[in-house]
Amino acid sequence: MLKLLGIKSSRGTRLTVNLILLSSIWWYFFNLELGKAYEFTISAVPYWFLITFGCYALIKIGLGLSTLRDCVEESASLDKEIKEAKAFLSQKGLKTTN
Amino acid sequence: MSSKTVGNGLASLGVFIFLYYSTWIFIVPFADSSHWVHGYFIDKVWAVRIPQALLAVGLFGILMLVLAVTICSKKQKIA
Repeated sequence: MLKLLGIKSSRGTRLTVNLILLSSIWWYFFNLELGKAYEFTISAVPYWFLITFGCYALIKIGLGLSTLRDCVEESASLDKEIKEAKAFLSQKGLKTTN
Repeated sequence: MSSKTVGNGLASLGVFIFLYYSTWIFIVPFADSSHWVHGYFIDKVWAVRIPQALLAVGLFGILMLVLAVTICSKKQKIA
């Protein structure tokens, strides 16, 4: 999330730095002691991040599934080639399970 | 049940869960007790307990998976 500072860093380093930064921001607000309503929201923000991440994954998978294209002719020709290869190899003496 | 409908269904479910949970956490605690929003949401303690339960179940499932794969591979090595 944090843009690459001019420093060269590995993915793991950037991840830990981002996590520490976000946690410290959250910790600051957590100890600020505003009213009772804010207290609930701030204490629930980590769970909100978890749910949001889960929803993001779900949406990504769903959209990927819906835009995946089905190549029917290629699948049929692949099946034919597999059959031919199996026939050829079993003729040469290779034992197959089906 | 084509893959397209399943994909769209999953994506819209994700959007719905995100919007519902976001209003639950960020809008409901700040609304007056007589506002109409409160009719659509359960007591807000559950907004924390449900993710806690999901997290516990998820971590447990991952642990079981790792254990199962380790034991299975050890058995294969011995045999």
